[in-house]
Amino acid sequence: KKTNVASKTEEKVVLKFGHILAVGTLGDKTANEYAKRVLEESNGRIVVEVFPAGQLGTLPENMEALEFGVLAMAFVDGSMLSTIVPEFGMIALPFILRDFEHAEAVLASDTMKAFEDKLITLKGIRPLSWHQNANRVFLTKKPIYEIKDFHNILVRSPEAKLYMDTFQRLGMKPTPIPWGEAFTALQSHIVDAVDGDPILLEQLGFYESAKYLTDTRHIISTLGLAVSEKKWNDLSDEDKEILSRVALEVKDFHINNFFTDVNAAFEKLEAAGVAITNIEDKQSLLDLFKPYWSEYAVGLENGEKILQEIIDAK
Amino acid sequence: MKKIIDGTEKLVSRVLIALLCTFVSIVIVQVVARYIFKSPLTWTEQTARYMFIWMIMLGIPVTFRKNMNAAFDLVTSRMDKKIVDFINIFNTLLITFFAGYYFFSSMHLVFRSTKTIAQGINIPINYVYTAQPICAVLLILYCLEKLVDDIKIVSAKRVVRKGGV
Amino acid sequence: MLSILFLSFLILLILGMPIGYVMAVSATLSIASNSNLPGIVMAQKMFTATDSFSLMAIPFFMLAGHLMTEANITQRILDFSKTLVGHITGGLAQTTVMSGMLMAGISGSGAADASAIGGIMVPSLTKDGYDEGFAVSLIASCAALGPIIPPSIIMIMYSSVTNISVGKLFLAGVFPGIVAGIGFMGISYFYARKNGFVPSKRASLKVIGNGFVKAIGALIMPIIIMGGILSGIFTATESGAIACVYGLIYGLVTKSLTIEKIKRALLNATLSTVPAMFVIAVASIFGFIMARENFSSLVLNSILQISDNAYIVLFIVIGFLVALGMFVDTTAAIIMVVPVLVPLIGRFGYDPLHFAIIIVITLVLGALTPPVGMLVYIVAGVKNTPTERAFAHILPFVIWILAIVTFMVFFPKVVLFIPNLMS
Ligand code: NA
Ligand code: NA
Repeated sequence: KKTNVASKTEEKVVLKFGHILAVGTLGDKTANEYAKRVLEESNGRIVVEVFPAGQLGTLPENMEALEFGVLAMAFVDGSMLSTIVPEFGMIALPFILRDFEHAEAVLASDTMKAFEDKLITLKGIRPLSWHQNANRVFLTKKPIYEIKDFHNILVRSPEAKLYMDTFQRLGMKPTPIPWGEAFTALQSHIVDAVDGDPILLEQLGFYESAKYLTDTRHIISTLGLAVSEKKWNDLSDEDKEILSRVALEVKDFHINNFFTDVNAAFEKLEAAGVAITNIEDKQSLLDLFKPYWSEYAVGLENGEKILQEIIDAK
Repeated sequence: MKKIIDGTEKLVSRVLIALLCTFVSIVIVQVVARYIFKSPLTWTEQTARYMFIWMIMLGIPVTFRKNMNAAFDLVTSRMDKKIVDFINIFNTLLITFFAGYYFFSSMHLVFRSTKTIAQGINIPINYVYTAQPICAVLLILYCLEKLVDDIKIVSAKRVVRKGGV
Repeated sequence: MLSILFLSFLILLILGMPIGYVMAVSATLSIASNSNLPGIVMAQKMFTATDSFSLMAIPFFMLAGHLMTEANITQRILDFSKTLVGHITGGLAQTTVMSGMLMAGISGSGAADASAIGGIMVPSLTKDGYDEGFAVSLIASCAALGPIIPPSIIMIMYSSVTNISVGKLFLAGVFPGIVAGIGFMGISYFYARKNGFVPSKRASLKVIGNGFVKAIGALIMPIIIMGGILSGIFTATESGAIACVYGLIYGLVTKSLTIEKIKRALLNATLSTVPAMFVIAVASIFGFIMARENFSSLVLNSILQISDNAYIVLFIVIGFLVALGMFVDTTAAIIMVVPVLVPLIGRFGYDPLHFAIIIVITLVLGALTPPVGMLVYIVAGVKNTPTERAFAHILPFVIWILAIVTFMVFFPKVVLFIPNLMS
């Protein structure tokens, strides 16, 4: 260990930042913006190297890589973290984040801080900032106006219990199909619906074979800009300050661009002839899913209390 | 000794057959449930995939022992047979090194994941991760067997040469 | 770290160590020598690489192929296609190309096609007097049409890395795929003529009819598979399992399969799947180290220093990808190169779709080139053909694909005609 602080501050720090988002997506831009600003703020001393599009691994791999210090930084996913710290599953529950402001309040709350501390102690993954990312919607082959329109639709599901439960509760029939085969599955009628980020669904052309979009925003996925605790402990306080501050700055950068991108995607979808509908009776959705929230909360220590804190967050 | 090693291969081959049979059937069940009964199953795909991983991991040592992996033999096929015998020992030693490293690497992964749950079907991820150290152990066993054979070949030739000249 | 990786790779390759183990050992040496990289990454990468439903098509089609061989279906297809196209020079080779194109139209994976066609056609072609090496090269090249003619898993991967429309990318593959197939037919024609294959007499209608009746059980299979996929009964991967069931039922009904034969087919199917999967698994560690050490951005950045001319840069990039493809698996190459390549090349004003299809085809070519050519290895696995022999006839196929790539560089309008027509 180096004791000479003066020489340490002059030392170059290289941090490898891996994420799975495609090149040129907002998440990738945010990562690059982060690298750029950190470089500026540190006068060229801290170099963040961004590896996009899963070059260094899948999402679960990146989480493990942070734990072992293979990666210095990565975007982690709120719902995926629930496989190691189940509490994170709470913020990924369907319809629990009501709108943008509520989601922001939850992400900045002390409740969330407590989850993070657990993540740091258990797995050595330290989130520096939380970014709202995809607001998931459905693409279907027939229009949806109320919950019963969902009944018996075969929907492509990611291979995660949360999604299968959500679809089942809506009365749909979840069919696990790898993302890579989702496009052809929708095209050939193996499934009649997919869910996902509207920006992505537009870019990948999924609307070519399903012309109805239901703007449910059933699950809001959250990206955590996280650093490996192993690397973190080696950094000077000055560097830690820069990394934390810039993380919160680029979070604003992310959000500001996010809504522009979502609106643009909706415009492009409408221009391509996609009919955009929504379930008018919002209360019916809440009534349907509140018991599910409680069910999930029961499995956790202080679950009911956490649930109430999330609902009440302001 | 040879008998025991042959026995492990025979056993593993039986398991391989059973695994392939099972996951083909599971995928058929998946198609039937979805298309005919219109009620897709949520466990089939992941279960089939995990069996596939087991099949590969158990198959790796067997294909090694049966010498079924393609090699680039353009250079060695033109070399003196005696030199190639030594190269074989060198190669097998390095493969043993890989297998040993793989064993520690995969054991590490198993121990670090004792509490991790597989995302879809709620089983501990270690039900699948464990396939890796088993693969490594069998591979080490077959490497050692091959080393003994290779060394026998080399030393046998030496003896012949000494006696002959 | 990269120097250890590449140096040990080359040395061990020359020393004749099996390719999968060459990659495994050189990756181990690199990881072990780097204190910043925990060893656990090896197990993690190998696991994730094999944890793929799409790759399960390989054992499925391998099994279907072995069942068909055990049930003697292969022989009947051979007899029938001979009555049909036997009078054309290189008739059986032409049949292979045709079935390769049809398979490509239903399956998204080159590896699956290689095992599906290889399992049946390697024995047929060699029985008919074709050189085993030529048979392997031909079938591997036909399997390479799999990821070019839609659907295509490689294209899906490309689109997930760059968010380009999958549908459009699929359509862009139709034209080059068909042209490639026609070229392969030409190559087969010249090969057969040069080697004095005597075309048999044109068979009478009655003989054709007899052959058809005998082969009908086998000929229905592609119809079942294609029909099933197109009508949404099963996915391309699942179709492999359906093919197995079909082969099994056929064999039991015709009483040509016994329990012993089924067992043998099962074991052989696993044993021909595993070496290919092992290479895929260790290639992922190999690719990870190269990506982590910024290999592709180092190379690509220096390419951009050479010239400002859009064509020259594109050709140098293609050259680099061909060279990379010699050693790295297509899937790994896409993950490694495309994220770096797309932003770098963006400023030259290429249509992203035009660029995408050029890159995809160039990288697919890597599965055919020695020393690491996945598709060639999978097909060679059927009869354990020695590597040297397997690659001996690959050159004309590789040149034809390169010619198509060159054409595509200069004539984007032709390449983009079909996708533009559809939208
Ligand atoms: Na295809
Ligand atoms: Na190659």
